[in-house]
Amino acid sequence: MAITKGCKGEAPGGDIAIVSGSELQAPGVPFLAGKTVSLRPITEKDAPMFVRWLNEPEARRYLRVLFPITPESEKKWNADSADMSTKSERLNLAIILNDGEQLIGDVGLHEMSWPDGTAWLGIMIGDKACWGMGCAVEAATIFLDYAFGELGMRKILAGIYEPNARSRSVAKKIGFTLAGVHKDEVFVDGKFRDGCIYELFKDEWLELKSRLETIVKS
Amino acid sequence: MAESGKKSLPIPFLAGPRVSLQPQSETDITVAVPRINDPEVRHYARATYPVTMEARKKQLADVGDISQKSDSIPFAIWLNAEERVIGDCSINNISWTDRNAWVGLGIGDKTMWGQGIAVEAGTLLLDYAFGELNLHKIIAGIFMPNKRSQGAARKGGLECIGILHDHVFVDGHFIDSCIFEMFRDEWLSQKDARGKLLEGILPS
Repeated sequence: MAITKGCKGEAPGGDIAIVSGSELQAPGVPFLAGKTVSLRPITEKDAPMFVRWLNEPEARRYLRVLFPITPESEKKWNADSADMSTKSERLNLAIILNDGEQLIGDVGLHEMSWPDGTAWLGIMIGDKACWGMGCAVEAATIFLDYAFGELGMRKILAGIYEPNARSRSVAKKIGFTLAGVHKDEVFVDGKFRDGCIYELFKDEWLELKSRLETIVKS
Repeated sequence: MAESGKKSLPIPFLAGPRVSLQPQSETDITVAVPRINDPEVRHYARATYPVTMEARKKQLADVGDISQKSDSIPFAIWLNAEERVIGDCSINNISWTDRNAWVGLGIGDKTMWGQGIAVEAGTLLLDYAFGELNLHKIIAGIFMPNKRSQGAARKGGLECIGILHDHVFVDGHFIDSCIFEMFRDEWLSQKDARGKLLEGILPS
């Protein structure tokens, strides 16, 4: 198992060993591959990294982690989500950097409804050194191809709090459209703030992708 | 009067002129289960899968002691004059920190449809949510073709804030879902009018 350094040469974990997850896949053959990031199943050994990220004020602020996440609760959550099938209501994958296979976050679906073909998208880049590098857009792109193309999802929804401008811009880049705004939905930093609901249909996704590919080719 | 659903001991937790809301019991479930499996009732109540007595009993047991630890508070809707249960309603997904919750309401007894019963029961539920639980906002999701429930929501003071397109699969089609909201401020400003509405129905 390869132990790599943190993003940009920093070791964000301190005493926490960063797991490559290569025990779950042949080297360089992830579950879903992209150019700079790839997606692989989450392992028990990822838990300490997630615990660290989820408890961090800046990250948990918009993820709405109001109560401390313990290593035990994180392990239980992972164990409860481990079997992924059409019986599952949620499905999560770890986001890793292709260079060094370092874990930087996770992406997943929750509240999957198989008869309706709908689910809610969640994405987290926990490693702050990787913020603003387009990792979320790339990870979401690979993941949506999977959700629409393999799982047969018809519509993906996303709920983003209004003050989280970074995530809202990611949603727009991917092609999500605003379906409605829940006024004063969440209590953040002592104030009620709005919650935005975004939608993306499979047809819209395929059209956007083919347009992007045309631009790249020309 | 239908015998099914008759109870010897009504517990009007929240009392209105025609209906009251009371804690749900196992007796209520034996009445509710055949109703929710009725195609016409389960249609927009979105009971896609068959509901069993055991599942509902387990659900009730899982709700357990209702307190500020709960994130769901269910009630049976009791028809005062006939002393029987005609439907149910609940406050769900309560967020005590954001002080909001989703509400759901169903009149399972089809003979009681179209009489403004849902509006009255909903009014009691909102009075409880805002007046006792101190919630800031309540939310409801109603499917677009379900005009009856949308009418009840509007009469109760809720407003549509957005539409989730082609959201659920009902009768072979994807249909939209409307999201309704109501704030505590709106409830406060409408409280007098709502009190009069309830009083107007009261027998003198």
